[in-house]
Amino acid sequence: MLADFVQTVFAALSIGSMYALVAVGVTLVYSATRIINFAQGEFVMLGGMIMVSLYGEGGWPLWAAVPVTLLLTAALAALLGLVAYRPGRQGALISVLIITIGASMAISGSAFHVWDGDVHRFPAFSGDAPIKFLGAALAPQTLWIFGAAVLCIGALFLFLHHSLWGKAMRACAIDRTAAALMGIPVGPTVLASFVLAGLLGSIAGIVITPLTMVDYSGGMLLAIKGFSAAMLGGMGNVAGAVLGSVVFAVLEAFAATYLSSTVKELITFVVIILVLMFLPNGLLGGRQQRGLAQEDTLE
Amino acid sequence: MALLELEDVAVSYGNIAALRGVSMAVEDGEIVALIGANGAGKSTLIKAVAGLLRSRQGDVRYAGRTIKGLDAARVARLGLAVVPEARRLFGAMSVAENLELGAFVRGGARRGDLEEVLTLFPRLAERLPQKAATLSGGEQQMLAIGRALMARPRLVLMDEPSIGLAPMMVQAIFAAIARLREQGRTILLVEQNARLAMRLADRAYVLELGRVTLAGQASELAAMDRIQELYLGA
Repeated sequence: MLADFVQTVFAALSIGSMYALVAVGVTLVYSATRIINFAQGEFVMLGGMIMVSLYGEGGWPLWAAVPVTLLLTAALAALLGLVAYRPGRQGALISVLIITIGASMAISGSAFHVWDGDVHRFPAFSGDAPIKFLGAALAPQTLWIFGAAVLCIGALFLFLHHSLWGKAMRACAIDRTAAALMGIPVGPTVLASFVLAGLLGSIAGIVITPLTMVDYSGGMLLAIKGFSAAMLGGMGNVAGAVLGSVVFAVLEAFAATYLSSTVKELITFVVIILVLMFLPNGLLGGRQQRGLAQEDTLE
Repeated sequence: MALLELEDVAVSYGNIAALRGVSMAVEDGEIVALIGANGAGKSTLIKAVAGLLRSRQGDVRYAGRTIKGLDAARVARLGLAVVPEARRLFGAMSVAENLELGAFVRGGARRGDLEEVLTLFPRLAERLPQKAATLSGGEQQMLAIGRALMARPRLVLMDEPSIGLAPMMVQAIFAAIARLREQGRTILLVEQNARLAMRLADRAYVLELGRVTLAGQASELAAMDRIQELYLGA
Protein backbone atom coordinates (compact mmCIF):
# COMPACT_ATOMS: atom_id res chain seq x y z
CA MET A 1 0.00 0.00 0.00
CA LEU A 2 2.53 2.52 1.21
CA ALA A 3 5.11 1.12 -1.18
CA ASP A 4 2.73 1.67 -4.09
CA PHE A 5 2.14 5.20 -3.00
CA VAL A 6 5.83 6.05 -2.63
CA GLN A 7 6.57 4.38 -5.95
CA THR A 8 3.94 6.55 -7.58
CA VAL A 9 5.40 9.68 -6.03
CA PHE A 10 8.80 8.72 -7.50
CA ALA A 11 7.21 8.30 -10.91
CA ALA A 12 5.48 11.66 -10.61
CA LEU A 13 8.80 13.22 -9.63
CA SER A 14 10.59 12.16 -12.79
CA ILE A 15 7.69 12.75 -15.18
CA GLY A 16 7.00 16.11 -13.55
CA SER A 17 10.62 17.16 -13.90
CA MET A 18 10.58 16.35 -17.59
CA TYR A 19 7.27 18.14 -18.18
CA ALA A 20 8.55 21.14 -16.25
CA LEU A 21 11.64 21.45 -18.44
CA VAL A 22 9.46 21.31 -21.56
CA ALA A 23 6.75 23.59 -20.17
CA VAL A 24 9.22 26.22 -18.99
CA GLY A 25 10.71 26.22 -22.48
CA VAL A 26 7.26 26.67 -24.02
CA THR A 27 6.41 29.49 -21.66
CA LEU A 28 9.78 31.20 -22.18
CA VAL A 29 9.38 31.35 -25.95
CA TYR A 30 5.75 32.34 -25.58
CA SER A 31 6.49 35.25 -23.32
CA ALA A 32 9.26 36.51 -25.60
CA THR A 33 7.36 36.12 -28.87
CA ARG A 34 3.71 35.15 -28.24
CA ILE A 35 4.57 32.04 -30.23
CA ILE A 36 3.38 28.65 -28.97
CA ASN A 37 6.31 26.51 -29.97
CA PHE A 38 4.99 23.05 -30.74
CA ALA A 39 8.48 21.98 -31.79
CA GLN A 40 9.67 22.25 -28.18
CA GLY A 41 9.22 18.51 -27.57
CA GLU A 42 11.53 17.68 -30.48
CA PHE A 43 14.48 19.01 -28.51
CA VAL A 44 13.80 16.39 -25.83
CA MET A 45 13.76 13.70 -28.51
CA LEU A 46 16.94 15.09 -30.11
CA GLY A 47 18.73 15.38 -26.79
CA GLY A 48 17.97 11.71 -26.17
CA MET A 49 18.79 10.56 -29.70
CA ILE A 50 22.10 12.41 -29.99
CA MET A 51 23.12 11.01 -26.61
CA VAL A 52 22.21 7.53 -27.85
CA SER A 53 24.70 7.97 -30.68
CA LEU A 54 27.48 9.68 -28.76
CA TYR A 55 27.24 8.23 -25.27
CA GLY A 56 25.28 5.03 -25.70
CA GLU A 57 26.73 3.67 -28.95
CA GLY A 58 29.72 5.96 -29.50
CA GLY A 59 31.22 5.29 -26.11
CA TRP A 60 32.00 8.97 -25.50
CA PRO A 61 32.47 9.95 -21.87
CA LEU A 62 29.55 11.82 -20.33
CA TRP A 63 31.56 15.03 -19.97
CA ALA A 64 32.11 15.16 -23.71
CA ALA A 65 28.79 13.79 -24.95
CA VAL A 66 26.59 16.16 -22.96
CA PRO A 67 28.17 19.46 -24.13
CA VAL A 68 28.21 18.33 -27.76
CA THR A 69 24.56 17.28 -27.51
CA LEU A 70 23.65 20.61 -25.98
CA LEU A 71 25.59 22.50 -28.65
CA LEU A 72 23.87 20.67 -31.50
CA THR A 73 20.37 21.15 -30.10
CA ALA A 74 21.09 24.79 -29.30
CA ALA A 75 22.12 25.39 -32.90
CA LEU A 76 18.93 23.78 -34.13
CA ALA A 77 16.86 25.83 -31.67
CA ALA A 78 18.49 29.00 -32.99
CA LEU A 79 17.63 27.93 -36.52
CA LEU A 80 14.03 27.34 -35.50
CA GLY A 81 13.96 30.78 -33.91
CA LEU A 82 15.22 32.38 -37.12
CA VAL A 83 12.54 30.61 -39.15
CA ALA A 84 9.60 31.13 -36.80
CA TYR A 85 10.33 34.61 -35.50
CA ARG A 86 10.61 37.45 -37.95
CA PRO A 87 9.91 40.75 -36.25
CA GLY A 88 7.80 43.15 -38.24
CA ARG A 89 6.95 40.48 -40.75
CA GLN A 90 4.99 38.51 -38.21
CA GLY A 91 1.97 37.14 -40.02
CA ALA A 92 -1.13 35.86 -38.31
CA LEU A 93 -0.46 33.92 -35.12
CA ILE A 94 -1.94 30.86 -36.77
CA SER A 95 0.71 30.86 -39.52
CA VAL A 96 3.51 30.91 -36.95
CA LEU A 97 1.75 28.08 -35.13
CA ILE A 98 1.72 26.06 -38.33
CA ILE A 99 5.43 26.82 -38.80
CA THR A 100 6.26 25.33 -35.39
CA ILE A 101 4.05 22.29 -36.02
CA GLY A 102 5.70 21.90 -39.42
CA ALA A 103 9.13 22.23 -37.81
CA SER A 104 8.16 19.56 -35.31
CA MET A 105 7.19 17.16 -38.09
CA ALA A 106 10.30 18.03 -40.10
CA ILE A 107 12.57 17.39 -37.12
CA SER A 108 10.99 14.07 -36.19
CA GLY A 109 10.92 13.01 -39.85
CA SER A 110 14.59 13.86 -40.22
CA ALA A 111 15.36 12.00 -37.01
CA PHE A 112 13.72 8.92 -38.49
CA HIS A 113 16.14 9.09 -41.42
CA VAL A 114 19.25 10.02 -39.43
CA TRP A 115 18.59 7.28 -36.89
CA ASP A 116 15.73 4.83 -37.37
CA GLY A 117 12.27 3.94 -36.15
CA ASP A 118 13.43 1.94 -33.15
CA VAL A 119 13.17 2.70 -29.48
CA HIS A 120 16.55 3.50 -27.92
CA ARG A 121 18.07 4.05 -24.55
CA PHE A 122 21.49 4.41 -23.02
CA PRO A 123 22.75 3.36 -19.57
CA ALA A 124 21.69 5.37 -16.54
CA PHE A 125 24.43 7.71 -15.30
CA SER A 126 24.74 6.14 -11.85
CA GLY A 127 23.86 2.57 -12.66
CA ASP A 128 20.53 0.79 -12.35
CA ALA A 129 20.77 -0.60 -8.82
CA PRO A 130 17.57 0.75 -7.21
CA ILE A 131 17.64 2.67 -3.99
CA LYS A 132 15.18 1.10 -1.52
CA PHE A 133 12.97 3.57 0.27
CA LEU A 134 9.86 2.68 2.31
CA GLY A 135 9.46 -0.49 0.34
CA ALA A 136 9.61 1.28 -2.99
CA ALA A 137 12.46 1.17 -5.48
CA LEU A 138 13.92 4.45 -6.65
CA ALA A 139 15.95 4.39 -9.84
CA PRO A 140 19.08 6.49 -9.22
CA GLN A 141 18.44 8.21 -12.55
CA THR A 142 15.34 9.80 -10.98
CA LEU A 143 17.67 11.87 -8.82
CA TRP A 144 19.55 13.03 -11.92
CA ILE A 145 16.29 14.01 -13.55
CA PHE A 146 14.99 15.85 -10.53
CA GLY A 147 18.34 17.50 -9.88
CA ALA A 148 18.69 18.65 -13.47
CA ALA A 149 15.19 20.15 -13.47
CA VAL A 150 15.64 21.97 -10.17
CA LEU A 151 19.08 23.24 -11.14
CA CYS A 152 18.14 24.39 -14.65
CA ILE A 153 14.86 26.02 -13.77
CA GLY A 154 16.40 27.61 -10.70
CA ALA A 155 19.27 28.98 -12.77
CA LEU A 156 16.84 30.27 -15.38
CA PHE A 157 14.79 32.01 -12.70
CA LEU A 158 17.90 33.66 -11.26
CA PHE A 159 18.99 34.70 -14.74
CA LEU A 160 15.61 36.23 -15.61
CA HIS A 161 15.22 38.12 -12.35
CA HIS A 162 18.72 38.98 -11.22
CA SER A 163 20.84 39.60 -14.30
CA LEU A 164 20.72 42.57 -16.65
CA TRP A 165 20.42 40.35 -19.73
CA GLY A 166 17.67 38.32 -18.11
CA LYS A 167 15.75 41.46 -17.30
CA ALA A 168 16.35 42.63 -20.87
CA MET A 169 14.84 39.36 -22.07
CA ARG A 170 11.74 39.96 -19.95
CA ALA A 171 11.58 43.52 -21.22
CA CYS A 172 11.60 42.28 -24.83
CA ALA A 173 8.76 39.96 -23.92
CA ILE A 174 6.70 42.84 -22.55
CA ASP A 175 7.30 45.52 -25.16
CA ARG A 176 9.76 45.07 -28.02
CA THR A 177 9.70 48.70 -29.10
CA ALA A 178 10.38 50.03 -25.64
CA ALA A 179 13.14 47.45 -25.23
CA ALA A 180 14.76 48.63 -28.46
CA LEU A 181 14.57 52.22 -27.19
CA MET A 182 16.59 51.06 -24.16
CA GLY A 183 19.31 49.89 -26.54
CA ILE A 184 18.48 46.20 -26.08
CA PRO A 185 19.23 44.18 -29.24
CA VAL A 186 15.76 42.68 -29.48
CA GLY A 187 16.29 40.16 -32.29
CA PRO A 188 19.30 38.42 -30.71
CA THR A 189 17.62 38.49 -27.28
CA VAL A 190 14.52 36.78 -28.62
CA LEU A 191 16.70 34.26 -30.41
CA ALA A 192 18.41 33.59 -27.09
CA SER A 193 15.04 32.67 -25.60
CA PHE A 194 14.62 30.01 -28.32
CA VAL A 195 18.10 28.70 -27.57
CA LEU A 196 17.46 28.57 -23.82
CA ALA A 197 14.18 26.74 -24.42
CA GLY A 198 15.93 24.29 -26.74
CA LEU A 199 18.61 23.68 -24.12
CA LEU A 200 16.01 22.97 -21.43
CA GLY A 201 14.32 20.44 -23.72
CA SER A 202 17.62 18.86 -24.62
CA ILE A 203 18.62 18.52 -20.98
CA ALA A 204 15.29 16.84 -20.29
CA GLY A 205 16.00 14.37 -23.09
CA ILE A 206 19.51 13.67 -21.81
CA VAL A 207 18.43 12.81 -18.27
CA ILE A 208 15.10 11.11 -18.97
CA THR A 209 16.06 8.72 -21.77
CA PRO A 210 17.65 6.05 -19.52
CA LEU A 211 14.25 5.71 -17.81
CA THR A 212 11.66 6.33 -20.50
CA MET A 213 13.63 5.52 -23.66
CA VAL A 214 13.37 7.54 -26.83
CA ASP A 215 12.28 7.20 -30.43
CA TYR A 216 11.96 9.68 -33.28
CA SER A 217 8.24 10.27 -32.78
CA GLY A 218 7.96 11.22 -29.13
CA GLY A 219 8.37 15.00 -29.47
CA MET A 220 4.89 16.15 -30.41
CA LEU A 221 3.10 14.46 -27.53
CA LEU A 222 5.65 15.95 -25.14
CA ALA A 223 5.17 19.41 -26.65
CA ILE A 224 1.43 19.11 -26.16
CA LYS A 225 1.97 18.00 -22.57
CA GLY A 226 4.36 20.90 -22.02
CA PHE A 227 1.91 23.31 -23.61
CA SER A 228 -0.91 21.93 -21.45
CA ALA A 229 1.16 22.24 -18.28
CA ALA A 230 2.12 25.80 -19.19
CA MET A 231 -1.53 26.66 -19.91
CA LEU A 232 -2.68 25.08 -16.66
CA GLY A 233 -0.18 27.15 -14.69
CA GLY A 234 -0.74 30.31 -16.72
CA MET A 235 1.06 30.90 -20.00
CA GLY A 236 4.08 33.18 -19.77
CA ASN A 237 4.70 32.41 -16.12
CA VAL A 238 7.72 30.24 -15.20
CA ALA A 239 6.39 29.31 -11.74
CA GLY A 240 3.05 28.48 -13.35
CA ALA A 241 4.70 26.17 -15.85
CA VAL A 242 6.36 24.27 -13.00
CA LEU A 243 3.13 24.08 -11.02
CA GLY A 244 1.16 22.88 -14.05
CA SER A 245 3.78 20.21 -14.72
CA VAL A 246 3.60 18.93 -11.16
CA VAL A 247 -0.19 18.73 -11.32
CA PHE A 248 -0.14 16.80 -14.58
CA ALA A 249 2.62 14.48 -13.41
CA VAL A 250 0.79 13.65 -10.18
CA LEU A 251 -2.50 13.06 -12.02
CA GLU A 252 -0.84 10.84 -14.60
CA ALA A 253 1.25 8.87 -12.15
CA PHE A 254 -1.64 8.18 -9.81
CA ALA A 255 -3.99 7.37 -12.67
CA ALA A 256 -1.45 4.89 -14.01
CA THR A 257 -1.01 3.24 -10.61
CA TYR A 258 -4.57 3.17 -9.33
CA LEU A 259 -6.68 3.11 -12.52
CA SER A 260 -4.83 1.94 -15.58
CA SER A 261 -1.92 3.20 -17.63
CA THR A 262 -4.20 3.67 -20.63
CA VAL A 263 -6.31 6.36 -18.94
CA LYS A 264 -3.38 8.57 -18.00
CA GLU A 265 -3.24 10.37 -21.36
CA LEU A 266 -7.00 10.70 -21.28
CA ILE A 267 -6.82 12.50 -17.96
CA THR A 268 -4.26 14.97 -19.29
CA PHE A 269 -6.40 15.91 -22.22
CA VAL A 270 -9.63 16.11 -20.27
CA VAL A 271 -7.91 18.44 -17.82
CA ILE A 272 -6.47 20.65 -20.53
CA ILE A 273 -9.80 20.93 -22.32
CA LEU A 274 -11.42 21.93 -19.02
CA VAL A 275 -8.64 24.48 -18.42
CA LEU A 276 -9.01 25.98 -21.88
CA MET A 277 -12.78 26.22 -21.40
CA PHE A 278 -13.06 27.44 -17.85
CA LEU A 279 -9.68 28.74 -16.74
CA PRO A 280 -8.03 30.23 -19.83
CA ASN A 281 -5.61 32.29 -17.75
CA GLY A 282 -4.41 29.26 -15.82
CA LEU A 283 -3.88 28.83 -12.09
CA LEU A 284 -1.32 31.61 -11.65
CA GLY A 285 -2.40 33.49 -14.73
CA GLY A 286 -4.86 35.95 -13.24
CA ARG A 287 -2.32 38.51 -12.14
CA GLN A 288 -0.11 37.96 -15.14
CA GLN A 289 -3.03 38.43 -17.48
CA ARG A 290 -3.84 41.81 -16.03
CA GLY A 291 -0.22 42.77 -16.54
CA LEU A 292 -0.40 41.69 -20.16
CA ALA A 293 -3.65 43.58 -20.75
CA GLN A 294 -1.99 46.66 -19.36
CA GLU A 295 0.91 46.36 -21.77
CA ASP A 296 -1.30 45.67 -24.72
CA THR A 297 -2.85 49.09 -24.26
CA LEU A 298 0.64 50.57 -24.43
CA GLU A 299 1.37 48.98 -27.79
CA MET B 1 27.76 71.90 -35.56
CA ALA B 2 24.42 71.10 -33.99
CA LEU B 3 24.12 67.96 -31.85
CA LEU B 4 21.02 66.86 -33.75
CA GLU B 5 20.24 67.94 -37.29
CA LEU B 6 17.28 66.97 -39.45
CA GLU B 7 17.51 67.81 -43.10
CA ASP B 8 14.50 67.48 -45.38
CA VAL B 9 13.07 64.52 -43.42
CA ALA B 10 9.96 62.95 -44.94
CA VAL B 11 7.96 60.02 -43.55
CA SER B 12 4.74 58.52 -44.88
CA TYR B 13 2.35 55.92 -43.54
CA GLY B 14 1.27 54.24 -46.75
CA ASN B 15 -0.10 57.05 -48.89
CA ILE B 16 -0.46 59.50 -46.04
CA ALA B 17 2.47 61.86 -45.65
CA ALA B 18 3.18 62.59 -41.98
CA LEU B 19 6.36 64.63 -42.45
CA ARG B 20 6.96 66.55 -45.67
CA GLY B 21 10.54 67.71 -45.70
CA VAL B 22 11.32 68.85 -42.15
CA SER B 23 14.63 70.51 -41.32
CA MET B 24 15.54 71.47 -37.80
CA ALA B 25 18.42 71.42 -35.35
CA VAL B 26 19.11 71.01 -31.63
CA GLU B 27 22.34 72.50 -30.25
CA ASP B 28 24.25 71.08 -27.31
CA GLY B 29 22.79 72.33 -24.04
CA GLU B 30 19.60 73.61 -25.61
CA ILE B 31 15.98 72.88 -24.83
CA VAL B 32 14.03 72.91 -28.05
CA ALA B 33 10.24 72.72 -28.06
CA LEU B 34 8.35 71.21 -30.93
CA ILE B 35 4.73 72.24 -30.86
CA GLY B 36 1.82 71.54 -33.08
CA ALA B 37 -1.71 70.22 -33.15
CA ASN B 38 -2.73 66.57 -33.10
CA GLY B 39 -1.60 64.90 -36.30
CA ALA B 40 0.94 67.58 -37.16
CA GLY B 41 3.66 64.93 -37.21
CA LYS B 42 5.35 65.56 -33.86
CA SER B 43 5.48 61.95 -32.71
CA THR B 44 6.45 60.83 -36.19
CA LEU B 45 9.44 63.15 -36.02
CA ILE B 46 10.53 61.68 -32.68
CA LYS B 47 10.20 58.17 -34.10
CA ALA B 48 12.18 59.10 -37.21
CA VAL B 49 15.03 60.38 -35.02
CA ALA B 50 14.87 57.43 -32.61
CA GLY B 51 15.17 54.87 -35.38
CA LEU B 52 11.61 53.55 -35.14
CA LEU B 53 10.70 55.00 -38.55
CA ARG B 54 12.89 55.77 -41.53
CA SER B 55 12.89 58.96 -43.55
CA ARG B 56 12.64 58.25 -47.25
CA GLN B 57 14.74 61.30 -48.12
CA GLY B 58 17.09 63.81 -46.56
CA ASP B 59 19.24 62.98 -43.54
CA VAL B 60 19.25 62.74 -39.77
CA ARG B 61 22.61 63.57 -38.20
CA TYR B 62 23.56 63.16 -34.57
CA ALA B 63 26.92 64.27 -33.17
CA GLY B 64 28.25 64.73 -36.67
CA ARG B 65 27.29 61.34 -38.11
CA THR B 66 24.25 60.19 -39.97
CA ILE B 67 21.89 58.01 -37.94
CA LYS B 68 19.30 57.60 -40.66
CA GLY B 69 18.70 53.90 -41.18
CA LEU B 70 20.12 52.81 -37.82
CA ASP B 71 17.69 50.75 -35.76
CA ALA B 72 16.37 52.05 -32.46
CA ALA B 73 18.74 50.00 -30.30
CA ARG B 74 21.80 51.36 -32.15
CA VAL B 75 20.57 54.93 -31.89
CA ALA B 76 20.02 54.43 -28.16
CA ARG B 77 23.58 53.19 -27.76
CA LEU B 78 24.85 56.49 -29.23
CA GLY B 79 23.52 58.32 -26.19
CA LEU B 80 20.13 59.39 -27.43
CA ALA B 81 17.35 58.52 -24.99
CA VAL B 82 13.62 58.65 -25.64
CA VAL B 83 10.71 59.25 -23.28
CA PRO B 84 8.20 57.65 -25.61
CA GLU B 85 4.63 58.52 -26.35
CA ALA B 86 2.31 56.73 -23.88
CA ARG B 87 5.41 56.09 -21.73
CA ARG B 88 5.76 52.42 -22.70
CA LEU B 89 6.99 51.24 -19.32
CA PHE B 90 7.62 47.57 -18.63
CA GLY B 91 4.41 47.32 -16.65
CA ALA B 92 4.88 43.84 -15.21
CA MET B 93 8.38 44.71 -13.98
CA SER B 94 9.27 46.68 -10.87
CA VAL B 95 10.08 50.38 -10.83
CA ALA B 96 13.67 49.51 -9.91
CA GLU B 97 13.93 47.10 -12.84
CA ASN B 98 12.55 49.69 -15.25
CA LEU B 99 15.21 52.14 -14.09
CA GLU B 100 17.91 49.53 -14.33
CA LEU B 101 16.94 48.75 -17.91
CA GLY B 102 17.26 52.45 -18.68
CA ALA B 103 20.97 52.02 -17.98
CA PHE B 104 21.20 48.97 -20.28
CA VAL B 105 23.19 50.95 -22.87
CA ARG B 106 25.94 51.40 -20.30
CA GLY B 107 25.94 47.80 -19.18
CA GLY B 108 23.74 48.44 -16.15
CA ALA B 109 23.35 51.09 -13.50
CA ARG B 110 26.39 52.41 -11.63
CA ARG B 111 26.54 53.91 -8.21
CA GLY B 112 25.00 57.35 -8.20
CA ASP B 113 22.75 56.85 -11.24
CA LEU B 114 19.76 55.81 -9.23
CA GLU B 115 20.33 58.46 -6.55
CA GLU B 116 20.32 61.16 -9.21
CA VAL B 117 16.98 60.07 -10.62
CA LEU B 118 15.49 59.65 -7.15
CA THR B 119 16.63 63.15 -6.22
CA LEU B 120 14.76 64.45 -9.23
CA PHE B 121 11.69 62.31 -8.50
CA PRO B 122 11.62 61.48 -4.75
CA ARG B 123 8.19 59.85 -5.17
CA LEU B 124 9.79 57.01 -7.10
CA ALA B 125 12.00 56.13 -4.13
CA GLU B 126 9.03 54.75 -2.17
CA ARG B 127 7.82 52.84 -5.19
CA LEU B 128 10.99 50.98 -6.20
CA PRO B 129 9.73 47.43 -5.51
CA GLN B 130 6.26 48.07 -6.98
CA LYS B 131 5.25 46.95 -10.44
CA ALA B 132 5.37 49.89 -12.86
CA ALA B 133 1.79 49.23 -13.95
CA THR B 134 0.53 49.98 -10.44
CA LEU B 135 1.83 53.57 -10.47
CA SER B 136 -0.42 56.57 -11.06
CA GLY B 137 -0.22 58.27 -14.44
CA GLY B 138 2.02 61.04 -13.16
CA GLU B 139 4.32 58.59 -11.40
CA GLN B 140 4.52 56.53 -14.58
CA GLN B 141 5.61 59.62 -16.47
CA MET B 142 8.24 60.33 -13.82
CA LEU B 143 9.46 56.77 -14.23
CA ALA B 144 9.56 57.10 -18.01
CA ILE B 145 11.70 60.23 -17.72
CA GLY B 146 13.85 58.68 -15.00
CA ARG B 147 14.36 55.56 -17.10
CA ALA B 148 15.59 57.70 -20.01
CA LEU B 149 17.95 59.64 -17.73
CA MET B 150 19.47 56.39 -16.42
CA ALA B 151 21.18 56.08 -19.81
CA ARG B 152 23.08 59.31 -19.01
CA PRO B 153 22.07 60.46 -22.47
CA ARG B 154 23.59 63.33 -24.41
CA LEU B 155 20.18 64.12 -25.89
CA VAL B 156 16.73 63.34 -24.50
CA LEU B 157 13.68 63.24 -26.73
CA MET B 158 10.44 63.69 -24.81
CA ASP B 159 7.18 62.89 -26.53
CA GLU B 160 4.28 64.67 -24.84
CA PRO B 161 5.35 64.13 -21.22
CA SER B 162 2.35 66.08 -19.89
CA ILE B 163 -0.38 64.37 -21.88
CA GLY B 164 -3.31 63.01 -19.91
CA LEU B 165 -1.96 64.12 -16.53
CA ALA B 166 -3.76 66.03 -13.80
CA PRO B 167 -2.71 69.73 -13.59
CA MET B 168 -0.73 69.09 -10.39
CA MET B 169 1.25 66.35 -12.08
CA VAL B 170 1.84 68.47 -15.17
CA GLN B 171 3.39 71.08 -12.88
CA ALA B 172 5.58 68.45 -11.23
CA ILE B 173 6.79 67.09 -14.56
CA PHE B 174 7.60 70.53 -15.89
CA ALA B 175 9.36 71.45 -12.67
CA ALA B 176 11.55 68.41 -13.21
CA ILE B 177 12.26 69.44 -16.80
CA ALA B 178 13.18 72.90 -15.52
CA ARG B 179 15.72 71.24 -13.20
CA LEU B 180 17.15 69.29 -16.10
CA ARG B 181 17.46 72.58 -17.94
CA GLU B 182 19.45 74.03 -15.05
CA GLN B 183 21.75 71.02 -15.28
CA GLY B 184 22.48 71.98 -18.88
CA ARG B 185 20.79 68.97 -20.44
CA THR B 186 19.93 68.88 -24.11
CA ILE B 187 16.25 68.13 -24.67
CA LEU B 188 13.93 68.03 -27.62
CA LEU B 189 10.51 68.49 -26.06
CA VAL B 190 7.42 67.60 -28.04
CA GLU B 191 4.34 69.10 -26.45
CA GLN B 192 0.73 69.95 -27.01
CA ASN B 193 0.86 72.14 -23.95
CA ALA B 194 2.56 74.93 -25.89
CA ARG B 195 2.33 77.45 -23.08
CA LEU B 196 4.45 75.43 -20.67
CA ALA B 197 6.78 74.14 -23.35
CA MET B 198 7.56 77.64 -24.67
CA ARG B 199 8.23 78.88 -21.17
CA LEU B 200 10.97 76.28 -20.67
CA ALA B 201 12.46 76.15 -24.13
CA ASP B 202 15.26 78.20 -25.61
CA ARG B 203 13.94 77.78 -29.11
CA ALA B 204 10.81 76.36 -30.64
CA TYR B 205 9.57 74.95 -33.90
CA VAL B 206 5.94 74.89 -34.96
CA LEU B 207 4.89 71.88 -36.97
CA GLU B 208 1.76 72.04 -39.12
CA LEU B 209 0.65 69.19 -41.38
CA GLY B 210 4.13 67.75 -41.54
CA ARG B 211 5.98 70.99 -42.25
CA VAL B 212 7.85 73.45 -40.07
CA THR B 213 5.88 76.67 -40.44
CA LEU B 214 7.57 78.76 -37.78
CA ALA B 215 10.86 78.62 -35.94
CA GLY B 216 12.72 80.92 -33.61
CA GLN B 217 13.44 81.93 -30.04
CA ALA B 218 10.72 80.54 -27.82
CA SER B 219 10.07 83.91 -26.19
CA GLU B 220 9.64 85.62 -29.56
CA LEU B 221 7.35 82.93 -30.89
CA ALA B 222 5.24 83.02 -27.77
CA ALA B 223 4.64 86.72 -28.32
CA MET B 224 3.38 86.29 -31.87
CA ASP B 225 -0.34 86.79 -32.44
CA ARG B 226 -0.67 83.75 -34.63
CA ILE B 227 0.87 81.48 -31.99
CA GLN B 228 -1.19 83.08 -29.27
CA GLU B 229 -4.32 82.41 -31.24
CA LEU B 230 -3.58 78.87 -32.38
CA TYR B 231 -1.63 77.33 -29.52
CA LEU B 232 -1.82 79.48 -26.45
CA GLY B 233 -5.58 80.00 -26.48
CA ALA B 234 -5.36 83.75 -26.08
